[in-house]
Amino acid sequence: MKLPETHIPEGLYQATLARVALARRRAARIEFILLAAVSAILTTLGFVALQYLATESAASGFTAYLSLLTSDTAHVLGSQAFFLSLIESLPSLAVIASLALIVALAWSLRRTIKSARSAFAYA
Amino acid sequence: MNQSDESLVAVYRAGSEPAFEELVARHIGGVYSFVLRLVGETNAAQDIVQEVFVKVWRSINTFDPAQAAFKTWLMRIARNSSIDYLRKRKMIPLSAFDTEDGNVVSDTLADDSLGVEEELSNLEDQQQVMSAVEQLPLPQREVLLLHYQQGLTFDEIGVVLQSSPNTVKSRHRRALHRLRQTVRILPI
Repeated sequence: MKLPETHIPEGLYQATLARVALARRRAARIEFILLAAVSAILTTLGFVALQYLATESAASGFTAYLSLLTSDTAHVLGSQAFFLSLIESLPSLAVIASLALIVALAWSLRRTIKSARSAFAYA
Repeated sequence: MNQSDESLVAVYRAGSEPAFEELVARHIGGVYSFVLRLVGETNAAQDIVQEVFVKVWRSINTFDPAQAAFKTWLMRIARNSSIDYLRKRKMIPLSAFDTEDGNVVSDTLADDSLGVEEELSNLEDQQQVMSAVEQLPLPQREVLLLHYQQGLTFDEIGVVLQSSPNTVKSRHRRALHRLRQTVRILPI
């Protein structure tokens, strides 16, 4: 026994694809808004982290050691003690925090741009 | 292009938009026929079909071909969407599917399903059979539609309805008997 299928109303296929496209745009817009907000927060945090890095670098003497590298290059290049001091004065926590935020911001911006393309491509 | 549904899903996941359109084109007729016979209203059926494919798009990444065929998975979404619609419209009681116990029927009815099936197939007016199907209680109707209209096996129907194959077989048997009685009563 085979029960017959019903005739599909005209335009249902197109209407279905249109509804899926609409749902996709809505989802992409929501994603775009969320990612844009995350990017904004990460940018703010990035500035704070860079300021912290600058402050810590000055406080630890790292900036001063680094300036010696440009002002007295010939003298310090041969000194192993100089490089050890340079590394020791590196504010590692501030550097790690800054790098982590920069990587997260790059990822977030990349996703934001991608979702913006989907959200507004068919508008 | 004569790829399996599961291959099309894989192609779509890899980024090919036409693969999804092909899946919709392949199954929209079956989904519409099934949903229409469940809800009985053309406009509602069209709306549910659109919603079904939106749900398919949303959850296509969770589809696992190892667990069920695409059509089985799709029909499960279609069935659940139709039931949700009917429940919202209070067209079926919440307990309609919970009280169905297949074992009772299998104990009381002789298994002459093949004879009944043949008898119904021989009827010239298949529209009459379809009208009789529409009069069946929902749990029996959906089993017949999934088996005889959509070509699903009892095991696959069990996945769609989240019931055991024995329950499905029992509903099928009960539906055929009831169908035969109804067709006999209907004027030819």
